[in-house]
Amino acid sequence: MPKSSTVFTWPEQGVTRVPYRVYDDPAIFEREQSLLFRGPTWNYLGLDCEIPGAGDYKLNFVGATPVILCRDENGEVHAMVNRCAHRGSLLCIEKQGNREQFSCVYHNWSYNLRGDLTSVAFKRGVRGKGGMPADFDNAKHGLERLRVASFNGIHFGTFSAATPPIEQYLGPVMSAYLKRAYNRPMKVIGAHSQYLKNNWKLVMENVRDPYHASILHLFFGSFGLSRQTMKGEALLDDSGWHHIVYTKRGTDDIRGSEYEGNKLPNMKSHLKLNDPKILEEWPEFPDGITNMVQTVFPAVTFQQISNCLGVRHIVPRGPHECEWFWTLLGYEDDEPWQTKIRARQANLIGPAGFISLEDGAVTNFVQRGIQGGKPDAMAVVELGGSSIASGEDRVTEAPIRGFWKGYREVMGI
Amino acid sequence: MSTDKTEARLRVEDLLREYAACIDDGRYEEWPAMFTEECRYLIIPKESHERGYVSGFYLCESRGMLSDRILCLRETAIYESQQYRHIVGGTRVLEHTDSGCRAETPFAVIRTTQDGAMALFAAGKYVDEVIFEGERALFREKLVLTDSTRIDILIAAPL
Ligand code: FES
Ligand SMILES: [Fe+2]
Repeated sequence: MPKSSTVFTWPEQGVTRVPYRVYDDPAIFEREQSLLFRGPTWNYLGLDCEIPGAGDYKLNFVGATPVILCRDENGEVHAMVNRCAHRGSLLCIEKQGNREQFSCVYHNWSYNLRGDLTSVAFKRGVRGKGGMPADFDNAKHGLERLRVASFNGIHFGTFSAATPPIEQYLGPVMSAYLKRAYNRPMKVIGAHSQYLKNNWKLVMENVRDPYHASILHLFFGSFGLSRQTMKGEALLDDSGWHHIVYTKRGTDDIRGSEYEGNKLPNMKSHLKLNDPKILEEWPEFPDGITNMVQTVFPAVTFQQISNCLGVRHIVPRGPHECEWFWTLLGYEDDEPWQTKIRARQANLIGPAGFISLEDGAVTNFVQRGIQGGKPDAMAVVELGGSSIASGEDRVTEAPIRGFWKGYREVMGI
Repeated sequence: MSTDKTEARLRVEDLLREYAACIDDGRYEEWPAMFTEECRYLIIPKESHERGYVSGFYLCESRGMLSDRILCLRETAIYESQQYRHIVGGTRVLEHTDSGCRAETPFAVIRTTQDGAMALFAAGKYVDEVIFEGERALFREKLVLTDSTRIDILIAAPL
C-alpha cells in the first residue's frame, strides 16, 4: 500500500466506503494523534473506583499519549501528560498507586497532584555555581494538563478547549444509557489487555458491528444468546459519533425466520453445554436488556453481557498495532453470589471469550488482507443503505457509518 | 500409606507432564479428566490475582465446564490454528498430607502459528491443589497465574 504524507480525499460514496489506507498509512496515524486524540473529543481515562482516595492515581493513554489520572488532596480529579516538563522522561512508571507528588527520577523535578512544578533540583546551583537562570519560573513549566469531565464515576479527558461539555457531547440518549449501569459505586473485578496486530479503528468498527455477532460468534447463535429476531435496537446519537446496540433475550419467536431449523449455515443448535452454569444470570436491569454494547467516540466501549459489566478501551500502538484494555466490573454492594456469577460470565468475553475470541482473529485477518491492494481499494459498508440513524433492526452497519462520520469530521477528510 | 514430600512431588510432576503433553498433543478431550468433578480452573494474571480480582481469562468450576471449553474450542471458536509447547519447570510442594498436596510449578508456553512464527506466548506459575485417589492424582484446583497482564491477540486452548 502506498505511504503518503499528503491528505487524500474520501471516496465520493461517503461513509458507505472506507479506504483501506486509513488502517495502514503512518501519516494518517500521525494526523489522528493531533486532530482526533488531541482534538475535540472526550477520551476515556478511568473510573472513580480505580482512584478512590487522595493521591490515588492510574496511568492511561489518550491515543499514543501517556497520561496520569489522579485525585488530589481535596478529592478533585486531574489528568496530565505523563511526561516530565524538563526533558521528557516518563514521570510515573507503575501503572497504579498512591503518591503525594510526582517526582521525576532523571533529575528530580517534582510536581504536585495538579501537575504544577513544585521543585527543581539544584535550581540555584551548587555553592553558587550553575543552576537555572534567575528568571526561571516554575509556574511556566508544569505538566501539560487535560480538561477532565466526570460522568457518573467515569472520567474523560480532552486536550481541546473546543470540546463541548460531556452531556452535550454524549447527547441525551447516550447519557441516559450510561447512567443506567453507572448508577452507584462500582468495583473492579478483573483487568487485563489484549495486544492486537491491527489498526485501532478495526476494533472500533468491530464493536459497532451488530451484523457479525450471530454469524462470526457461533456460540451466540448456537446457544440462543443473541439472535437478530430478538427485540433490540441499534441507536445512534444525533451526531452519529456514539452508538448503542442492545438485545433482549426471551423476546423472539424464530418460527418462519432464517433461524428456524438450522437454516443458517453457521448455527449449531444441536450443541449442548455439559454445565450450563456459565449462562446462569439474574435479571439486573428493569428494562430487560440482556446484551448491550455502547461506544463513546473515539475509543471506548461500555458493555453489559447478561451480568458481565465492563469497559474496553483501545490504545493505538502504531498504525498496525493496538492494545485493548478490559476492565471488568461489579458494584460495591454486590453479594458474593453476584460477584461469582459475573466472574463466571466473564468466560464469554475477553481474549479467551466464547463470544469474543474471534474478534481479535478477524480484525487481524483484515489488516493482513488489505496489504498490497490497489491504492484506492476500499471497504463496502452498505448494510442498511447509507443511513446513519437509529432503528430497531440490527441487520445494519449504521453504527459503523456513524464512526466514520465522526472520524471524517474531526480529521477534516 | 503415608505420603512423604518427595513422593508427593513425584506424583504432581507426573500429573503435570501428562497435562502438558495432553494439551501440546491436541488431545483436548482428555484434559477435563485430569480434574476432579468439582474443581476450579482459573487463568488470571498474577497481578490481578494479587489484587484480589476474580475475573481472568478462563474460569471453570466443574469438569463439565472444562468439557464445555473443549466443546467450544472444537465447535464454535474461530481462530487460526496454532501449536503450544509447554516447558514445565521444577515443582515445589508447599503442603502435603496423605490424601493430597499443594504445589507450585513455573511454566512457559511457546506458541507457533501456521505461518511458522514462534513466540513465547505465556510464562507464569501453576498453583495446584492435587488430590491422590489410589493410583491417580487429580487437580482439585489449578490456578494458572500469568506473569503478564497482556495476551497476544487471543487464548484458544488452555494453558
Ligand atoms: S527529565 Fe525529568 S527531571 Fe530531567
Ligand atoms: Fe464480536
